[in-house]
Amino acid sequence: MKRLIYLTLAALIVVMVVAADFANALEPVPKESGFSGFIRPGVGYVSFKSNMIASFLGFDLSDKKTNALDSSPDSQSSAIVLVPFSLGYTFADTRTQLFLGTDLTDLVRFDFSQQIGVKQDIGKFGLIQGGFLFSGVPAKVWEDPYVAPNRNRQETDRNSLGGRLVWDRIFGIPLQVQYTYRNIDLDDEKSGDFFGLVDYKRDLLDRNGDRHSGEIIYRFDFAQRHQLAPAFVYTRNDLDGDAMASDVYDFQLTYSYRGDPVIFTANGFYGQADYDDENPIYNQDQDDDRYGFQATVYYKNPWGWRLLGSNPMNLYVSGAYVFIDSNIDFYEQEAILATGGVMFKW
Amino acid sequence: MDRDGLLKILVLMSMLLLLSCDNSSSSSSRGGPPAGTPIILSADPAINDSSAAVGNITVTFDKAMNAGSAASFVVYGSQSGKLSGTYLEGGSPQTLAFDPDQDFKPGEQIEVILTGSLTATDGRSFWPFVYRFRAESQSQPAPGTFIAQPALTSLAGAFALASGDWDGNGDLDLAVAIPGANKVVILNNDGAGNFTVGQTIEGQAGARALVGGDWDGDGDLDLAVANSNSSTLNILVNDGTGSLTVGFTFSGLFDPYGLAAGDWNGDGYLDLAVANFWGGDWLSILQNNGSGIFVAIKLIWDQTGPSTLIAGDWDNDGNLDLAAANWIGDWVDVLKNFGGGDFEVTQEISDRLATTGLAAGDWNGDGDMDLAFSNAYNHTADVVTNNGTGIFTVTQTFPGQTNSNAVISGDWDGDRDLDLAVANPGASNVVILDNDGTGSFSISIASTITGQSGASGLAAGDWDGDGDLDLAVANTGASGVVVLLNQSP
Repeated sequence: MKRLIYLTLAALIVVMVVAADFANALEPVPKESGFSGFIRPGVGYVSFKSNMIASFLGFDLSDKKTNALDSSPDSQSSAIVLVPFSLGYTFADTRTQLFLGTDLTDLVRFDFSQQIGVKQDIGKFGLIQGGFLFSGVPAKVWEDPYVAPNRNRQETDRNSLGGRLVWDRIFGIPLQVQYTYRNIDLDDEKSGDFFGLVDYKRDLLDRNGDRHSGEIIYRFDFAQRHQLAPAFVYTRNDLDGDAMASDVYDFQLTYSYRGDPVIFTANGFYGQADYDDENPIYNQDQDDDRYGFQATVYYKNPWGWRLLGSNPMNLYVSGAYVFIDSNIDFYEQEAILATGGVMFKW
Repeated sequence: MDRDGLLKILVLMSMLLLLSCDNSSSSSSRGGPPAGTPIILSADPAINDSSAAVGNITVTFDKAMNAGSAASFVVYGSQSGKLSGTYLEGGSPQTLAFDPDQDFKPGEQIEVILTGSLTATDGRSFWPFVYRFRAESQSQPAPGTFIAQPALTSLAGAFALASGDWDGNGDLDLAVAIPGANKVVILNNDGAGNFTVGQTIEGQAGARALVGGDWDGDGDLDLAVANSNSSTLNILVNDGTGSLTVGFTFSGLFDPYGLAAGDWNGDGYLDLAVANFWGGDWLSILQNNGSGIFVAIKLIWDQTGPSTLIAGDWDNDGNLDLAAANWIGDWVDVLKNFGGGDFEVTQEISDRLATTGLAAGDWNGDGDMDLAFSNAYNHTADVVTNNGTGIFTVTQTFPGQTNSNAVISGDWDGDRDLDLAVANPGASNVVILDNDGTGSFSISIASTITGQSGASGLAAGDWDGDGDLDLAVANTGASGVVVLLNQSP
């Protein structure tokens, strides 16, 4: 569960980066039949502190060894390359689109899920989308994060499968609700193994389980080109280990300026996570405060470059900071991310 | 949606967040015995008795009890293992008694465990209760002066000792930890205090602490070894003849320096606690399943270089508590056991300097367990008094204990109160502190034992069978192990 939380934190960072997109409405179903999509290659720098997530997309996010089990993690930094994409095919007659790709909101959660699904325009009722989420590249976590200083930890895959339902532009108003379900499965969950914890206490640390997340976003145009999008996200990390299971409440506010050629988005969030039961290693309930912010600038079509018939290329730069302040130092998490790249849409 | 609608949504979100901010935590269950549970009115020998006469153990309850058994009325001797005997009705329906098959050894610590399987005749189950007392010196008075026997120099580098009757022949043997040689050596006693090297148990990497206990409850004394180099705890199982082999290894440790044994949860099995030294900085509370297999039931953080542990019931609630000397942190933590091995630090006795040795006993005869510390870097030994609730105060400090590394208690002079001995490697001596019976100690110059090069570990027992308490010293220097017999000069 803790690892999930860490994953969530890490994800938050990425989410922040993608937050502008995150707060946006679903893309409308194209008017014409055919393929559409985007690719958003980028490079960047990430500095990350976590004792729980081992690596993501091949980038090391924490050290094999811990310095101490009762202190905050050290930071790891790395250059990163991300190539999120989406590919869709539209049936114009039925206002239906099939799609496959990376959901940026998942990327933010360090969950490199792919989604395959269908989007349906239902006229005045809005736009609905349903998709199946699966891990194309599973995140790596530690089999047993809690080992003595200078002992190596072993990685294991963290897979997630689930689904997402989104209803946007509900009855024509700029309101979106969505529900996401995931089943989290670690190949080898060995939390508490090093300490030789009694079985019932090991069970409290089990990070396998389900995650349910509900979200509501309202997009509010308060001036020409300026939009605010407050959001509330409730997540139930219904993990098998009660010390890892949590209720997470996040408030998020996104501001966007949609000018030409500049688009600017900024996003901040604050949240809390309350855990169900006492942590058997640290003898207290974990409680987290979570906050972060991000800003992204898109520069539209500077030179009119295109790729394979795409719309003109956009450049973007983005920065994000996320911190999870846990009452148990070991679980603190911090991420700093700076990225830049290009985006092509078809 | 109009702006009012949006405002309502935001208000609703805010309320949900506020509701989510309830920081109430679920604490572990720490309830006491339910109403109507049988309670102990008295015990003979008394709880925490420093000089208990050899004989039956009798416990009187507030209501009539069903007969005790080996599972419900469990008695361990620190030098003997689990004691067998006869369970008696102690003269009234409210009284249960245990008549051990063998006498307690002089100065032996006896642990009595009344488990939850004891029942009253009204069907009520007993709430587990664990208490200890110390067997009397059978020579009253005793000389209180010590004559060194020839040093066992082949054991140079000895760091820690444990005393016990491993081979079950009635006399006390010694176990010696030699960390530099990665071994534990059993010294066999011929009954007159003459020790010879018996079994050598190799592969104990950095063996630094020893504690005897009957981990598998088979009636013979086993041994536990903290191996600092391999960060393991080895359980050495006795086959009944004194031959010890590794029966279980617990590896979830980091540089273990200190051990303590006792039944933390009142289930009738001896458990262990381990101090994980600097870099580890935590205590591991281990629970025994009754066959010498241990699992961790609690980890205790915020320690800084914990090196030594000692157990005792500081608040007389029937749960064995702990004290942990933090060698690097320069303090001693007092840990209360809320039952079931649920320990929590309740007092920090600070401003010590490299506390390395701990001893426990009722120094002033008030029925409460007190403490003594040895502080290596300010060259002192402290006498620390318990107010009866588990709150301790330093009442005496003895300077001149050069690099004091260990302290042990025993009734050296046979006056029925507990005295102290302090091992001072910096001065190559062992200093005897004599108790006047009120908890006021004084140094007996005549009983300062010199020639202990690198004195690091102490053990007490009646090596020569004359009824008084003798000493043994583990020396990291060339002296190796020196046996000190309690004799007149």
